[in-house]
Order: sequence, then structure tokens, then C-alpha cells
Amino acid sequence: MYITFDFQSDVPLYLQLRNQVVIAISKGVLKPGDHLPTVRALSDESGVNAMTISKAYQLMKQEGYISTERRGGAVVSAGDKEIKVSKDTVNRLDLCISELRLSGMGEEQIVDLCRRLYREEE
Amino acid sequence: MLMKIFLWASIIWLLPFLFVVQRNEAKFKKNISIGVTLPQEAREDPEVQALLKKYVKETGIICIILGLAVIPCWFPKSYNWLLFAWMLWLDALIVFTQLPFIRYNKKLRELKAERGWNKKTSDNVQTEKVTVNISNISTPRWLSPWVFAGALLITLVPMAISSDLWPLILIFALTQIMFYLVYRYAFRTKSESIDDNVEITQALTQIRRSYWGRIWVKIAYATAIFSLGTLLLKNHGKLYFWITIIYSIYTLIVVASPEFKIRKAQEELTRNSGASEYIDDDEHWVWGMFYYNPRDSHSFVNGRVGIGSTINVARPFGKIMCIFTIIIMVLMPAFPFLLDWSIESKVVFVQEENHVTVSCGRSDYRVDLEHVAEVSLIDEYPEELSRTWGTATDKILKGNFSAKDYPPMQVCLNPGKTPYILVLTDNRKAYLFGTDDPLRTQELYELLKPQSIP
Repeated sequence: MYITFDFQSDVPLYLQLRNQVVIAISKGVLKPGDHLPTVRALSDESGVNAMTISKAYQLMKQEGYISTERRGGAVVSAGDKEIKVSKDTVNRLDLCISELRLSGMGEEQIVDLCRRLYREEE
Repeated sequence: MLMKIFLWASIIWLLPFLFVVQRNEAKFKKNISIGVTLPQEAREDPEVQALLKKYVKETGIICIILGLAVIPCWFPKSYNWLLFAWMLWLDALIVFTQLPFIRYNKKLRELKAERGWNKKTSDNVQTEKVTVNISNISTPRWLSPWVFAGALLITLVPMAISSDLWPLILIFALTQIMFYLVYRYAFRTKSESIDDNVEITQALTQIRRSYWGRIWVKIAYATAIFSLGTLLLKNHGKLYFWITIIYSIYTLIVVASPEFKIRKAQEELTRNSGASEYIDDDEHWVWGMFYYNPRDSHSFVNGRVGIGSTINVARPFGKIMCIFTIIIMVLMPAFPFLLDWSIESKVVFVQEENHVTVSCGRSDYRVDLEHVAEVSLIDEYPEELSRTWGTATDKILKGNFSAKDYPPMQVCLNPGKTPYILVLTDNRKAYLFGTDDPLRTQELYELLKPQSIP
């Protein structure tokens, strides 16, 4: 699995890592029990500061996507584990729905679009 | 003459060694030749082949010229000018052997751009992005610090047995700590990725990591044995000289042998790479040899080929190291003169009650007159006089020495002015003194003679 860090992006590096791992888990590229590299190894490999990688791991741990190991590695959490949806995610979804509604789409159309995107993910 | 042979032997091997290393750069390893990443199709290209041949030839010519430039290094009679000549030659060797690399790296890059050989590369060429394959990343297993602690303990043994060796043993001990720190922290553990082939990446990474550990463990234990040898042979100048030579040769072999083995493995394992997608980070390598990547938060990075690591010149530490290296190289020929200038070389003496103190700078050598058994004036050094710890310049020789058939000897003299005074005491001590004025030396001799005891 490839992780790309874009240094020009407005999205902070730790969030780029977090987002790519979350997408990989949701698409099944990363499965429960899969190991992620240690903070230091990923930092060495990418050149990104170890503190940045650690921040992403901590965030994913808080959100329930991964559990961290003693030696700095991480494991993708089991599917049955409760994932906390952050307030930020709910707010972003709220904003998207508002934009779609203002563009003239009705409830059914929005739900259809969501369903289509969800199935594409799978 | 012995000093000239010693200097020649300890420096001259660098010339063939650097030639072999530089010639090896022309072979494709990890899709790289002379610091330029090229696709498979480019390897057999006649223009590329011609450039590589020219590069090897030019490197050879420069090495022959440098070999001839050694001749003037044999002429200086003074120790300082002799060192000056050799250090100047060393500077020339380091700089001139790199010139063909820089020249042909530039030519090869131009050819690469001209032929569009940088089109098939992966995202890694984009300086604003970095892509890593996390399935390829393996966590390195570091050797336990106790492995190095064992070597350190052996190194310290002579200090417990012979107190006069402590400054030298302390340096060995500090060197051992440095070996561990270099092993653990001056090595970037980045995977040796060259393309999508996971097996080859893992093989190259494993080889590099395992040899790195072996090198430092071997050097650490060789240094520990050398430290024991210092204890056993401290009074046998010639044998100690030979054990020093053996230690140096062994260290060289321990470092050079894995370097060439890894280069060979990199060459063979990546022989078929570069046909489709491959990693090309030429953008980050100035002249193909200096890593400059502000996006990389690490100061140490994998060397392009071989086992070593190099410095990221874009980081503050890299910049400091770069400036430091340039300063060292510029000052290297001036070192002997700077040493002379900074070291007090005037030998003075004073008699107080029943002892005489001979001093030079901050070094004092106190002789208890009641223990003096024999004093003689000599014009040549005792046989196999060898420095254990101290200073040796054109103007001053001082510190702890050993000599054949004598107990441990303390020396404080001006090597250019004879006679010297050899003092033997009844409590198994020996001293060798001499000032810059034969009349003052005679005066000191009178003071030290047994009958001068009040």
C-alpha cells in the first residue's frame, strides 16, 4: 500500500496520513490485524518528521481506527470496535449536504449520490 | 627516513582505493551510474557507454598524475614540512578524484534529459511529493548496546593494570562509545527501494543493515584487542609499531570489504530493474553526490550506492558538517605549523630542595634527586623510543614514552638540539631531557648528577 505526502497541500501532513489510512481501511486495502510500520520506520522512509507521524497515529488511535503497540508500531483495529465519528467529520458532512441542497438537489438525490459513492468505495 | 616510510605507507593506499571506488561508480547499481538514474534501455546505449568509458579513463589519468605528485612529498627534511606536503597531497587527492565524477555526472544528466529518459519514473521524482510503500517497510533490529559494552570493558582493562596508560586508554574508550553512537544514530534505516519489486527491496535493505552492524562490532573488538596490545607491548616499540599497522590494515579491510560486497549485490540484484517504473531521486542529489532535500527532516540519509550514509546538506546539521569539513580540509596542511604555534616549546627547569622540575608549557616532570641512580649525556635517542602519550613536533618532544631495555620513560626535550640527558632512578623510572641550548642542557645535567645532591 502506498502513502503519498504532498508538501504543497493545504492539508497538514499528519492529516494526509490519517486520511489515506482511513480510506485504505474503508476500502479493505488494510484489514483488521494488519500492521502499520513503526513511527520511526515510516519517518525514516518518508523523511517526514517522526512527531508528525506520531500525531497521525495518536489521532487514528483516538478515533478507534488503529491500536498502537508498545514499540511505536500500530495495528488496524478489529471491525467490531466502535469508531468514534468526530464532530469535524459531522460538520464537514453537514456542509456538503448544505452545498448539495443549495445546488438544487433534493433529499432522494443526495441519498442516491451518497449510496453510489459508498458502493464505489466497497 | 622511518617517519617518511610510515607517512607514505599510511596515506598512499588511499590512491588505489579511491581509484577502485571511483571506477566502480561507472557500473550500474540500483539503476544508477555516476550518480545518474537511468532506465534499462539506456544501459547499452552507445553514447552512455562511451561516456562511462571516458569517465573511467579520465579518473585513471588523474590517479596516475596524483601518483607522480607523491614524489615531492619525499623531499622535505623537517617534520612540519613533511606533514604539510602529505596533507596538501591528501587534499588534492580528495578533490581531484571527484572532478571526473562531477563532469560526467553533468554530461550524463544532459543526455538523460535530451533522450527523455526521465519520463517513465514514478511519483518520487516530484520534489513536492513523496510516496512510500508501507508494505516494504521493515523495522530494523538493532544490536544490543551490551555487545558494544563488552568491547568497552575489554578496552578499559589496561587502565586498571597500568596507570601510566590512562590518557591513551581513555581515548580508546571514547572511541568505543563513538563507534556505538555512529552505529546506532548515523545510519538511515530507509528501505533500499528501487522499484516495485518487494523481494529485491527487502534483500537489499537486509544486506545493508546486517553488514552495517557487523562492521562496527568487528571494529569495536579489534580496538579492544589493540588496547590490550598497547598494555602488553608498551615497552616494545617495534612490536607496537607493527601491531598498529596490523590494526589499521584490519580496520580498512573490515570497512572496505562489505562496501564492495554490497556494491556487487546491488549491481547483481538490480541488473534487470529499470524496465518499467523505477525510483529516480536525482533531483535531490547535487552533482550526483550531495543530498539536498529540504523536505526530508532527517540529517542522515542512505548513500546512493554501497553501505554508507551521507548527510542531508539542506538540514542545519548538514550545513554545519559541510562547513566543518571544508575548514578541516583547508586547514589540514597548516596543522603542523598551527600545532607548533599553539604549543609552548621552551624547556625550562628549576631546582627546589631535593628535586628538580623540568617543565614545558603545562607539563611538569619532577625528578627526586635522592632517587637518581645514573645520569648520562647522549647524542641519540635510546633504541626503539616510542611515544605512548604526548606531543611530537619539530621543536618539542614530550610525554610518556617507551624504549627498549628501559623502564617507562618521561621525555621533555627539544629534538633539534643535542645532547640529551638520560636519567635513571633507583625506583625504576627513566627521564630524557634536553633544552634548546646545549649550555643550559649542561647546566641541567650538573643539577641532576648524583653528586649534586646537597
